[in-house]
Amino acid sequence: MPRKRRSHDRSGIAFISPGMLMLGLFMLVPTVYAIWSSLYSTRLIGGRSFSGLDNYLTVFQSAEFWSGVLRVLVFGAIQVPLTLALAFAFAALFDAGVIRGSKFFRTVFFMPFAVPGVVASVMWSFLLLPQFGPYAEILSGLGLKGVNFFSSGMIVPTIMLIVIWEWTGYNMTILFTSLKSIPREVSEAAIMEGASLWTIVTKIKLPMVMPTIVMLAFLNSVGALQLFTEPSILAAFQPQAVSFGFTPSLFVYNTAVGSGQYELGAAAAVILALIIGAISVGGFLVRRRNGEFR
Amino acid sequence: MTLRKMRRTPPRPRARALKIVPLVTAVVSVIALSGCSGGSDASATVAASPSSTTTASCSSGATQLTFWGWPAGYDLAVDEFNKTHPNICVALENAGASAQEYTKLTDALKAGSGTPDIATIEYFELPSFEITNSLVDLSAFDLASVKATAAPVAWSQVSRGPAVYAMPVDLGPLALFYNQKQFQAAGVQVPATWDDFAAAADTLHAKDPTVAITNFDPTNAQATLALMQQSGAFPFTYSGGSDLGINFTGAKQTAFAAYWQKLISAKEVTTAADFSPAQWSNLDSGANAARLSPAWGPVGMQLSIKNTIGDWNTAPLPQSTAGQTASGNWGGSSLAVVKGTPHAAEAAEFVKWFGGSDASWKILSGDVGGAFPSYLPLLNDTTFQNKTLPITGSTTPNSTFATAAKSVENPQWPPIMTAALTQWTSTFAGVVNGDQTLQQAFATFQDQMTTYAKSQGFTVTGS
Repeated sequence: MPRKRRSHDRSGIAFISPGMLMLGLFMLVPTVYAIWSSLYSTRLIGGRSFSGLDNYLTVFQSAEFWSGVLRVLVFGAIQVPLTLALAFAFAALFDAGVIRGSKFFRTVFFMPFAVPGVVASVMWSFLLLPQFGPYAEILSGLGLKGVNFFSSGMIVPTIMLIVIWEWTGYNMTILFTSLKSIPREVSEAAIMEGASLWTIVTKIKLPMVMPTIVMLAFLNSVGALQLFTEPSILAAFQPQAVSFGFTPSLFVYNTAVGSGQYELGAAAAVILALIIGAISVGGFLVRRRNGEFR
Repeated sequence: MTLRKMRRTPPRPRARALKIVPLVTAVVSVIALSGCSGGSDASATVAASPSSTTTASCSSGATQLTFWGWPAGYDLAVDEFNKTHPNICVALENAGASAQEYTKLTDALKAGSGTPDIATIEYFELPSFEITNSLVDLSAFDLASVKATAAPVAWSQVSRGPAVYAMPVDLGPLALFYNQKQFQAAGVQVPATWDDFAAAADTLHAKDPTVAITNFDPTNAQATLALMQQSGAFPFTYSGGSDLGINFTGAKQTAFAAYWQKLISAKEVTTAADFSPAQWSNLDSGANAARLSPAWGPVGMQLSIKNTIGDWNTAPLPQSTAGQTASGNWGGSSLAVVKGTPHAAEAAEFVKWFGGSDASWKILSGDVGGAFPSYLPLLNDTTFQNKTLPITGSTTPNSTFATAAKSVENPQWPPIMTAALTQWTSTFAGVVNGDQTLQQAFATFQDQMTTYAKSQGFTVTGS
């Protein structure tokens, strides 16, 4: 028995090694390199030297970095529930089979996900232009004149709009698949008992796909905390709207590439990773204590 | 997945694995971000293909040179060079514009491979590459002839003492580009001084509150620095080495900030982002009556407006004191020979031809290129000076810009311009929002740049 098991292991290793090699080369090695280089400083005058935790101290004292962290936390707290609520609503609608051509609409709703984030950001930055965009025109037709989607108060909601547009379809598809896997008998039994469609969706199906929603909430939250593509593209069109440390990832990018302080950027990236890790683990522990993970 | 499976509690080891996975995934992906995002960003905006189209006419035995550049028309000029210089074959590659190219060049220099022989570098960025000892000193390659044909402000920006680190190509001297019809209709004279300018702004705004005399985008570092330069308030002093002067809070800088803040507060100038659709619309609708324009500005502007084509005229920038002729420079670039090239002599021959010959400038200043020359024979040429554009009707903008080109003081660019440009927009956005004044933004920026320069090992002198 043990011998057979070992040959099984060997073929297993062969199968996973390409993936592990990629993971090692493009994830683990850069991670270790980033942590190592975050302990150094390179100066234009004086060159590279070991600086210990100085870079971490600089990031900890940077108000700009922390304001970015706060911004993505608020962003995630609003964007993630909204996206998931919308995604579930559409998935439940299509699953209930009350809509004709649901296959067509599911494809349409999924389409934004096929549009790269860069393209989506470019597209929306034109659609939302304050003076010429169709949306500004529609709003002014409704009596809301001079709405600037890129003003300092509106920029976060605007990015939420773009991100929700991009990701609702993706989340919907996963939830739809999850809903489809619920056996038909469950709904049939509920209908026999006289439950309304609303009751079936909210009281039976929603709890049954909760593990999927929890998983999506986690993935979406990590995505929100790493927010980068949309603001960085918008910055090219609306340079006044997106600041140096608008999100922690932008802070990392601008520090490393824009200011040439790669080591300081690496330190900020490590801190951001630890924040995301802590939030994820904390959220997981709370949920597990509540008995949500089954 | 069946109902029964979902309701069943999974064995504990799985739960423990789940606990670790999110943390590892998150940590790994975020740290990797700092490395990969640069690449994806650059690839998103680099338009041209990396393969060159300029080498078709090259003979097989020619010395091969790689040239990074992005401005329009450069391919045509390189093509002409290759046709007329059979011993040298220059391959033009587009490595992205401005900061994108500089990032790539910096990375290639660090890696010690993949550097081009020649690179387009804007004047403000040259000291950043000088300080890392990345550029070939061209003074050994007989520059007397091309020095004589370059505008002094261009030459002074590429040289430090006896060393010459690049060949100047184009310039962007500032002038007052104004809507002549609108000025006449409002009875406003062309302002000779900045006091006159403020008075004209007042008059225009009083007659029609929707009119602002011009746009002043405080988030545009280059435009703001060019205007500061003209007012004798350029904030940087640098002459090589580790001593750097940063002064955004001196008397002249504060006066400059106060002057523009007053106009911004009174809504007598707008603060739209430069080159935004809003700015073009303001210029075309009469909401802006003038533009503090670089010499390369009108060619692009006439593609972005339509109602006021033919109404625009050019005058020298208003002066601090009547009778002066100071201007500022916004933009323009040079060709530098990158250290590590095995063909420095051939590269020097190319850059001298590119920036300092009639044959090259015939192409660069043509309809495709539209570059404004630092090359004196063309600047002084009457045909060039008397050229009209659709946007300027029968008036001749080049004559004014050519005069301005010869009255720009040498700005002492600091070797930290990449960081300055990255930080600038963010710091000055508050002025546009009305959250802070230009004076306050100057003070903040003074602190930010001082901190940055010190962290880079410079000895900083402030105001």
